Formats: sequence, C-alpha cells, structure tokens
Amino acid sequence: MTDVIDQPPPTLPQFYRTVTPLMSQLHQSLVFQDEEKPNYRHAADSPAIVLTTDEFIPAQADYPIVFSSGDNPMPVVLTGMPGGRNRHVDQAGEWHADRYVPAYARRYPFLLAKLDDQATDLTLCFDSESDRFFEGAEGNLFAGDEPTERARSILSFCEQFEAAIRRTEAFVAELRDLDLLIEAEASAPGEDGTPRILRGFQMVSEDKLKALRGDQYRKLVQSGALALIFAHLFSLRRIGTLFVEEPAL
Amino acid sequence: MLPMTSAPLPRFYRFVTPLIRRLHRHLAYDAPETPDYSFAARAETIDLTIDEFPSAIVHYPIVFGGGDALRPMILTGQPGRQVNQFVDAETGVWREGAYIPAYVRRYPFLLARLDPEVDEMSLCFDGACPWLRDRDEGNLFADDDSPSETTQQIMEFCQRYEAAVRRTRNFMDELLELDLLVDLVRVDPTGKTLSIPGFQMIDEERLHQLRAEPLRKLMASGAQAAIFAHLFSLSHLGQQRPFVTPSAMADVA
Repeated sequence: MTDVIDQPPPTLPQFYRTVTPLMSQLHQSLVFQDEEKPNYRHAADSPAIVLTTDEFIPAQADYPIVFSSGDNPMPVVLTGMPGGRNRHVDQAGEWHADRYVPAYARRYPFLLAKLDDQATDLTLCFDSESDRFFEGAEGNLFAGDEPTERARSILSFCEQFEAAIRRTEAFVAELRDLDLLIEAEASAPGEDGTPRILRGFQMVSEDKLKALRGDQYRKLVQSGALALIFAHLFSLRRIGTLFVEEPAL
Repeated sequence: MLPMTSAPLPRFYRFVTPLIRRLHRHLAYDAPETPDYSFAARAETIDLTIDEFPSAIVHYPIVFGGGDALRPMILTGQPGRQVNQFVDAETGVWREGAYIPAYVRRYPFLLARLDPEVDEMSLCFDGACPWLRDRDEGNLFADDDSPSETTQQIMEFCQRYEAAVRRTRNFMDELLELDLLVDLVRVDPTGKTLSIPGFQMIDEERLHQLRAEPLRKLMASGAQAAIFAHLFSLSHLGQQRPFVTPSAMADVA
C-alpha cells in the first residue's frame, strides 16, 4: 500500500474556513474566548503542519521534518499518515504534553493576510468560523478605536510568525540554489507483509550535501542553514513512528 | 584471576575478569528479563559514542568531560547530585522511550587489553556482577568448547562498541585540533550565563570562523553532523541556541 501526501491547490490556509479582517468599526463587541488549556481541535485532522526554520531545533526531537513536494516546497512536520489524523492531538483537542506545538497551530484562529493581490500591507484577520469568537456586551479586542493589549500581543505573535516564514523561504531558496532537495519515500513492512510506502515529500540528499565544496559549506554554516539541514536529517529518524499503529485513545 | 593493571577501572565495573574457557565452562549469564540498570542509578554522566549522537539528542544534553581523557558523555542528572534521573533506583528500569546508551547496555561485559603491549582485546566481564554465576551447566561455551551463541552475540556487540569508540576518539582529535571547545555554560531563563564546571562544549563562534577547507574535512569525516547534534542537544540545558534566529515564538496569549 502506498500513502501519498496530497497537495491540493490551497484556497484558504490550512485550518481556516474564513479569513475575516479584524476591524475596529465592525468588531467592537467581538469576544475572543479564553481557554483554560490551549485547544488544538483545529489541527486534529492534519497529518502535516507547516514548520518555520525558527522551530527546527525544538521540533526535530518530536517529529519528522520534511519538505512538501511541488513548486514551492515548505518544511512541514509529519504528525500522521496521509488521510489519517494528527496523532499528537487527543479527542479533547489537547496536544501531547511533552511535545513541541508548531507556531502555525498556535497562531490559529488569527493570521496576517493580504486583503487583495495588490495590497502590500498585511492585515490582522481571524477565522470567524472558530467557536472561540462570540458577540458580547463588551468585546475584548478593541477599546474604542484602539486595539486592546490582547489584540496587540496577538498581532505581535502573527508578525513574528510572518518574519519566521520569510526566513524559512530564504532557507528553502538556499537549498534549491544548491539543488539539494530530492523526492523521497519512506517504507515499512505492512501488516500483510507487503511494504507500506509513504510518498509525496522531499528531503535533503545526503549524497548531494556531501558533494558540496568547502566554500559552499562555509556559506551554509554562516547563514545557519547547515544547522537546519542537520536538524532536518536527524528528524527523519522519527519517520518510523508514523508507521506504528496508533494506540487507542 | 588475573588482576588488571593499576589503571582505574571503567565505570560500573568492579572486577574486569577475562572470560576463559578453561575456567568458565560452568559460568552462566542470566540477565534479568527486564533489563536492570540500577548499577547506573547514581550516574549523572554516561559515556556516549559518536554513532549514538542522533539518537541521544532527543532526551539528553551531550557534553564533553572526563578531564585528560576528554570524551563525549550525556548528562543524565544534575552534576554533583549523583542521581540518574532516567533510572528508577528501585527497579532499575530506564525511563520508557528514552535512548539507553550502549555503554550501559554493554555491562557487565567489555573488551579489554590484557597485555598493554598487545593490541588484541579479550572479552571480559565484571566478576562482581550477580548475573554471572557458576551453575551445573554454563551457557557461555558450547559442548565443543567453542563460544556459545550468547557469547558470540556479546562479543559482536562489544566489537561494534569498540569500533564506535575509535570513531569517537578520531572525532575528539578533530575537535581538539581545530580548538573548538570552550567551558560549558548554560543560560538561565533570565538570560544569565551560568558555568557548569568540569565540562566543555563546542563554541559556535569558533565554528562560524572556520575556513572552507576544515569545514570540508568535518563534513567528509562525519564530524559536522555530530557537532550539530551536540549543539542541538544543549537545548536540554535550557539554553537558547543563537544559531537559529532566537525569536522563541511564545504562545498567543
């Protein structure tokens, strides 16, 4: 049996059902509900989640980090098999306590987005379909025209995230300039003896990496890319865990 | 029994006894069904070979220690406390899911040079280990006096271990030659730098300053992978690593 990681052209970013701009004139009474514990129901069905390079070191111990296939590869952590669920999130939406939670999943239900193709600025938006929003007597995201402290800290997180995405794109560009990415597959013996194969992702080729020149290594060391490459390569040891049957919750 | 040289015994071994057919036909090795690591329950450091770095980084900081015999080791507890936080002192069970270093999996066996003049290594065991006892029927030699299957497996493991130790020594030589090691420090949550005496780490600044040729050599020998594994592992000390932009994205409040 072969599992292929599908990459349908995204219409909306993963997890988001709407991307609604947050506006003081419209959202005075909008309440963003607190939760006692962070809830990741939105990520429970996602077997792959985008990971920024800022997060490679903490994430590599817990997940395989691979690159998506296609024309614009991005790093993702594999959290389950294609078509399967995220095995780090339980039915209550709780992420496994000891494991790193990718910033992409922590950002939801907010994001920065361009309102139209011509726009250069990014606007703070939210998924109005998220059940964490409701209309109250008093909203907690605006005080008059001004964003509240809460809204500002959300904005600051989203800005940090976008900056990390830019660094991640620069890293991927370095890999592509050196032609280091190759299509990859992983396999494990299936229950009926035929191998179960996972396809549809890319990795750094160790052979191509070993064939680089000294001055190319020097550039990769100084940009920090070589550290990230090794974090990715070490993380591939975690790929075997995907093939192991999920324990009953 | 041959007393070994006056050199200090390897950690955990109380008597290094060569396994000799003539003397040990009745010797039986009966390890507990659930591996018992209580002998390592007070070890706050355990030697690690370079082959094990990628497996060990999931749970442990890898540092360099051992004074003149400088070598990689994992920290399994707080220095000075004499508690291995990964071993249950009562049952000897190693924490589930955490990598168990080959050094402790090898015990109570090891390969040792009986004669310092001779290169050959002999299979030895800790004569004080309770898992080795004389019985009516031993299990380390077959009827025809050849090493039993158990002994052959132990021997193979110990040989692979020694090969990894040699690779580790070569790695240390490379690090020392490039002068990459500095005293180990960790950064506490307030940003204060605390030194951890007796241990060393690789200095990233020095790594960044290396020229193309030494970097090419480090890649070719495999040392570069081990260097990064070591650097990543330091995050277990609560250290923010500066080689990736240090924006530790906090939770959305």
